[in-house]
Amino acid sequence: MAVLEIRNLTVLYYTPKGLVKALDNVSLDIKNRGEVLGLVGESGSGKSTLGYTIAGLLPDNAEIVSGKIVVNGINILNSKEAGRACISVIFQDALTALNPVLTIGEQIAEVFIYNHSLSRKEAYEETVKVLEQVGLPRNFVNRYPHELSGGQRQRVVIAMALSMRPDLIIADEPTTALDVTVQAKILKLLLKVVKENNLTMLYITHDLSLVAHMCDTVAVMYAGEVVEYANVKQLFKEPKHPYTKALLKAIPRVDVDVEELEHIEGSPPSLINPPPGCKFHPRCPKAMDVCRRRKPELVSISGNRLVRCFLYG
Amino acid sequence: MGFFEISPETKDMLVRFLQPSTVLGIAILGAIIILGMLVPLISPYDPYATSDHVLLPPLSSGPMWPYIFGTDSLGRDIFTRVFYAVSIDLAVAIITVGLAASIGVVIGLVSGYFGGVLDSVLMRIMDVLISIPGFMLAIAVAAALGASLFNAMLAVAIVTVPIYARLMRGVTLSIKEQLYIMAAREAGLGPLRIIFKHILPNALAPLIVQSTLELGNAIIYIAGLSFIGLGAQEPQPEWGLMLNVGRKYLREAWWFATFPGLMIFLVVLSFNLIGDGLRDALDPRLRGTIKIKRSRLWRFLKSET
Amino acid sequence: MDNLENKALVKTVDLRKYYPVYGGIIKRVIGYLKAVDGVTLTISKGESLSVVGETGSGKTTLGLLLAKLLEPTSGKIFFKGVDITKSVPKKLRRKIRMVFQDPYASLNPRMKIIDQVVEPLITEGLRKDLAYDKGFKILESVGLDSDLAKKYPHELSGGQRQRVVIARALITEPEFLILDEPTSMLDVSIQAQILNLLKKLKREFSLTYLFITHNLAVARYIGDRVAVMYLGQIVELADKKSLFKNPLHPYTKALISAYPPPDPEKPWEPLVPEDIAVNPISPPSGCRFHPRCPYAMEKCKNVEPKMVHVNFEHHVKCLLYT
Repeated sequence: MAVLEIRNLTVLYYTPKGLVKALDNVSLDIKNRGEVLGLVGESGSGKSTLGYTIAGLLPDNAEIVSGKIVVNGINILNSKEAGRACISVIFQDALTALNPVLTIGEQIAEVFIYNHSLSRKEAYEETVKVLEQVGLPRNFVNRYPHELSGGQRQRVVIAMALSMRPDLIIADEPTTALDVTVQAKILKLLLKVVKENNLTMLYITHDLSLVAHMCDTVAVMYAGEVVEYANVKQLFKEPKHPYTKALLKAIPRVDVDVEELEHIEGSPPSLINPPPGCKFHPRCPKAMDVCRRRKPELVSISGNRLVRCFLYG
Repeated sequence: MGFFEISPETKDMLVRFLQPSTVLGIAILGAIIILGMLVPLISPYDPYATSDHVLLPPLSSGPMWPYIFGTDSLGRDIFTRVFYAVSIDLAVAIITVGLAASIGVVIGLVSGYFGGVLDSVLMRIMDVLISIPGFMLAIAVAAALGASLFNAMLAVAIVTVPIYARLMRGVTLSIKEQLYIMAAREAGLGPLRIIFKHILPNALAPLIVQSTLELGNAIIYIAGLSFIGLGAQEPQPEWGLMLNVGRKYLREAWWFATFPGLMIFLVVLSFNLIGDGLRDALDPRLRGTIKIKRSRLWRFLKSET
Repeated sequence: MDNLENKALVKTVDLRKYYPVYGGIIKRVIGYLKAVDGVTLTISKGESLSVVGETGSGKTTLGLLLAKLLEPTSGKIFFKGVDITKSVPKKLRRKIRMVFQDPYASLNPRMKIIDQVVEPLITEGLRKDLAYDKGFKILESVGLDSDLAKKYPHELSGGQRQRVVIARALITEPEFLILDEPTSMLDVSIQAQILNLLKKLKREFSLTYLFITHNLAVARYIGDRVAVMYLGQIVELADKKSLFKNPLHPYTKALISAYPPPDPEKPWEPLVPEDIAVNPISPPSGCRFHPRCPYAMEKCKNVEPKMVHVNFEHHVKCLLYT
């Protein structure tokens, strides 16, 4: 049984400008426990919407028009069953994710007391243990969020996510607001914690370089659709979809000298009035006639990979 | 596609504006204004002409058509007078608020943008003005210059200036922090241009909302001053004045004071309702928040998509 | 060196910006936030200098000081040999322009694009029709269709807005452009577009850039030389090749290692200092980086290192090299 199964998920936003199709018939899996799936895309790709939908945090003007999401066999779009699934979310902004008037210790202990029915004493023991796992000293139990640095707060949030012993962790750009040196430490920690505890994670980011080192599998999203899916090594070694290829060539590098960055012409398409056929075709260097007329399906190619492009079938 | 293509942002603003309460306010005010224009044209009665038909109850028959609201102590048709007063009271309110706003906005802009000593001095003056009860100031002005509608307007304008000044100063302070203001400075624009072309246009929303409320207030003020004899003088048709005279006859001729009083109430109410609607419509944070899925109006406006 | 001085477009000498911090019941000054603490550098005509730093490094403050949007606490700024520390002579003002980070916030939401682009010229007194002519021409140079001119900022995409901001900066024919994180808020694919546009414009209009960024990869792509800032000071300054081939300062090394290469086969071994909260109001004594430095020696706690030449164009502020 897959840890996460998404089938034909379509999510719309009602906005003054019209109906925004944020997710267009998305199907995706995280097959194994302990796997980290990277969800990568730019603005409007739908990656954050997907994260929020799974976490049940969509705003009022959003509507799940169709599809199903199953986590460890539990249908989480069914409000009666959904409560049984344990999904924890790590947001971008740790400061607002933490209650400013409670100490760190109290907030983490809360999770143990309410979710796992431990006694106060037991909860305290577990809290200290989990703080250790994220590299924070035990006296931090008495500190308040505003006394901590950004990186330390994010560690606390990770600790809380850990303590829930979740079926699935959704990390949505967890380090975008942090300096790059702090980011490196936090991500290394997150990965270590996830692997040590055999947790399953959906890692959402716009940064392909991070995906290369955090994830086992990768799904690339564009305009509300998954356009490519592969394991991480395959994706970077042999990207198939023209968008993935272009994206990789547009990243500036610290490790090598880049003579000329290749940029993608145009801008991301309107999600209210998307272009006909393949949504990427107006910007695609390899666009063919059929790309304008028909929508490509997500097809399976060698090595357990999926691509949505007429170049491949 | 209709004649005028309104942008989706405008449509959304219209939906937020045209809430039931706001529509009611517009309807009431609209009706009053229309009657205020119509009645002077079609009423057979002269609002100033006295007659022997003194203190007749509403719907009593009269020489030309019925006295719809009855007559007053001098035999004048109350209905005619009440609607003649519309143009006077509204004009007075608009002029007063317009004057106060023009002065107050400039003070607030200058105070907020330049800060420092200028700001302190101006705001202290505003503090003094705002602490004076309007009525007392009106009495002082009347004592000095005589009791008249014009002087009452002056007094009310003076007391309203600090409200605009403070509002504008606050808005200026927050807009001043925006990046595009720093960018304007960087581009070499002078303070005057920044204040009037960059800050003011972005400060209109709270100003408009405040103004609808102040219009209501101005009417109450002016009516109140006329009530105590410091505003309009006989034989001018003006609601506050009519209230003043009419209250003596409350027991035997309730209609004399009630109808002018009702008009004041309705006009101020409608201004407040419209002001509330405007506030919701102009608040950028509320964009797209009306349950527009369910709003028939939204769907109708969207129907040509 | 005489030759260098002649080609220097911008020069700063020991530039400092301190913000007083008030505390206590009677609000007296209890300390200073040393945002920029002694920056001396020379920018040659035609070069592109990247300034890299994390939060609190002072890089944005440095940009604002050079753009004359902030008054320095002490130190000097020279532009084309003229001392502009106290004020900029009228003729030179249009020659130094700045591009800000947030393309949405730096545009007036209630003004049409073209009106904002030509505003600097209108303020200078140029005739309207001439100004608007120039405006449309500039929009073309930055790759914007003229039918976008009458639109409002919210009708444009992020990339388009940033082009407008660049157009507004270029319309006064500047020689020196200070760019503060112009692509940080843009998607990767759009960032690449704008970076390439900036490179093209630099050649076309013979510009000199001070490019401020937190992203070392962008700094590498766009800069000829790179300056690394930490807590208000430049800790390393070198031409691009030398800096990345042979980084000297421990902070620079840490910074470089923190970036994951976009390739799962390549290793990612960040050697990153402890993220202890550093109080910018009372920075560490001696070398500011010493509490986090893996190579810290005893003397680093007490002695403030001075900038030294290691090679011709490679300068570093570290006791390891003194």
